Amino acid sequence: MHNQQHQTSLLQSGTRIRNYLHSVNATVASGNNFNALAERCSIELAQFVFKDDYVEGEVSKTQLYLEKMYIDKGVEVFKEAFQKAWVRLFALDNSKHLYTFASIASCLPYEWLDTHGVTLIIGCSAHKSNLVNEACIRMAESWEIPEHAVYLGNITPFSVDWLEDYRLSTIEFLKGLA
Amino acid sequence: MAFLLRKISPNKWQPNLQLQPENYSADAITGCNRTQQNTLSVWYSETNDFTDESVEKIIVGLAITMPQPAKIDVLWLEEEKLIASGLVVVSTRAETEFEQVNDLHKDIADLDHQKLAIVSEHIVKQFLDSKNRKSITRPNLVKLVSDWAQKEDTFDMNLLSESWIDCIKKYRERVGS
Repeated sequence: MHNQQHQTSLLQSGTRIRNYLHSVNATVASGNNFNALAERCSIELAQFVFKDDYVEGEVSKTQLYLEKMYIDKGVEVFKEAFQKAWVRLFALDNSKHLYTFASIASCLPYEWLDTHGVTLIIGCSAHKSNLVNEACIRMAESWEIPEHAVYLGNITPFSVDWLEDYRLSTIEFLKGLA
Repeated sequence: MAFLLRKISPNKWQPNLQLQPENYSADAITGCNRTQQNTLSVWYSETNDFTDESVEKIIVGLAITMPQPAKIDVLWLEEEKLIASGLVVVSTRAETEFEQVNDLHKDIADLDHQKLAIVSEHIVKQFLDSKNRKSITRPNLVKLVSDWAQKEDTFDMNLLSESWIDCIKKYRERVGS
């Protein structure tokens, strides 16, 4: 837990992040360590998210970085870095970053994420921010996996009308795909 | 009346709805408006009826300029009010594969700090009346583009982006069309 907080605060400091990346890079270079590589990618990913903005229908720099990571580093590093990144973003006070991340994740092929995608849906559904909740539904809508209707059906209904309407219509859409 | 359709990000405008124009958040003005060469891209319509066929066509035109399908929100602006406020609206032919709608594209041009503030204020006013805006889910947008691509003399879906082609194919396989 302490380590998690340490890393989250690292993300918010430019100088410290550079120093931390140096140490992670050294670990990667010396041992080609899977965890260290995933760690480095997750931090770079978060850095992209901080500077990015999700615009509906557009391709963001973060999306391009994710696609490059998937191709260059392979699926396992990709999944691990993806999960490490959003778990950190979830802990930040500014929910805009998690919204950006989840919205951009909706643009990725679900096959790349598998259950890591489902956990992000569930995580975002529990967030107090309506924006993040919207991104949760956007992902399920975009990935078009009929089984995800069950997850959307089992989360606590949203109190905001437009959001709840979006959730219900997406459940119906996903059920219709089965 | 003349209406101008604009894609917006509602979440960027929501925090501004109760504010005075001088206090609008910079994120809404710069993040949602996102001017290019001091212009804002809009689509011209003689009706603001979202169910009208002519409006469907400009939504399709707008959609296929996007590299990939997504849930979008669109808002009607009123051309006469913008012009009366001193803004310049010019016809600028679009370059989409849907030839029929390309001449309906316009730019709100020559924007500066003051004029951008006028547009932002108009967006908020329009946004407050729900009949001026429409949210189009991703599946509905894919269906709309697919349906129009199947009509005669519209556009060849194979000329769209790879992402659009994939989504339309999946949709058509699903509905058997």
